[in-house]
Amino acid sequence: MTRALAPRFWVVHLVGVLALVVTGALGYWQLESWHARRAAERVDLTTLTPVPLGEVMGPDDPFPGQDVGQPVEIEGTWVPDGTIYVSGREHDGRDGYWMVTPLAIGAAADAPASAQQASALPVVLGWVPSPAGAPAAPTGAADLVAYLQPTEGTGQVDDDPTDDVLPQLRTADVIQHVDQDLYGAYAVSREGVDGLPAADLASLPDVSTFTALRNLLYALEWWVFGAFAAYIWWRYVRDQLLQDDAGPDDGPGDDGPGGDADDGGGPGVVPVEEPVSEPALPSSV
Amino acid sequence: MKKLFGAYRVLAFIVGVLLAFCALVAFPAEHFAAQGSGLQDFGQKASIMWAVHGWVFIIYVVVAFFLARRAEWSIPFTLLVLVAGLVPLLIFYVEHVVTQRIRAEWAHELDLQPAG
Repeated sequence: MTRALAPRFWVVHLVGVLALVVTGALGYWQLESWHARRAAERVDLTTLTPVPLGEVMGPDDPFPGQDVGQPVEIEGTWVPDGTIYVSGREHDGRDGYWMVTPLAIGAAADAPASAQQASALPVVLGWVPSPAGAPAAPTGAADLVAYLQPTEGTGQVDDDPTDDVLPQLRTADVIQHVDQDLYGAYAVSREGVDGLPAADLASLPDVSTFTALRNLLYALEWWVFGAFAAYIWWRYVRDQLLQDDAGPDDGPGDDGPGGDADDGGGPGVVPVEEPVSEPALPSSV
Repeated sequence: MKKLFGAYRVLAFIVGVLLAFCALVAFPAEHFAAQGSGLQDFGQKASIMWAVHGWVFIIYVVVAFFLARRAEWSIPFTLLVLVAGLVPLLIFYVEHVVTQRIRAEWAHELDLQPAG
């Protein structure tokens, strides 16, 4: 054991320890990001105090990923002509539709020109069993609290682009129904507007098994690498010591590759393969 | 030797294909395709193959390492063989070199006539 601590092995030990520290740390880092990403996805923001929409995102901003479900105060003018229905939405076990009317954010109700220019946020007013039975779209000014949601985009095709029914709340589809810019988000009104039952949130944080799975796999991978490095380290030192025991002139790398069929080590080192560090290249290729 | 060499070639091929797929198909699809397009969605789903590549690469490293010891390669050549699993497409070339070299130097163990 003490021989393994001889100065000539110090570099080897240093490299070995470094390899373990580095792979261990990298694995830990991946494990942490796995935890962090899952925790971030699980956070339920819907119980937080509502904040003004402008504090969370602007009209041209990408959706702030950490604010899914954040209650926001929105104020503006309804754009009733842009009303659409999103199909395939359940409420109390019944299939139905979301009724969605864009709200021109910050636009004054008595100034139609400003409503044209303000960016609109599609607001889910509530759930309706069918578009035919829906109430008239709201008009005028509004000031309400709604949960902020990222727009949907599962690639589902709108099989009839001419009607007001969409399979999902996708900006590219909604924009066909309004004359102004849209926010890169939508909102679900906390209370149903005009007495409609409130819609159930589509993307409430729900962590799937596969969330950040890559990070977990990478973490394990780094540790397996670390274990392999430790194995090489141990094997190298053992081989060197066994080689010493076998005698200084009996290095196993001596017999050339083209030589005899038995390319094992010297006689004294039967179970040992050639040490990893053996620099002996086949001299002639 | 024969088994190690065979395992090495199979693993090199798998690692090479996985890495080429990840780096040349999945990555560009995920990052350069239009936002929200089907191609980008595919890229995101396919990116899990990176982890698959990583795991196969571990096995590749272990096998290549033992092959390197068995075949008495120098440390630089061993490192090249190991690192080849991380550079897209390089591994196909390295596998070719390794095959040539093993066949030339260890023909007696592979029951082959030396190449050339």
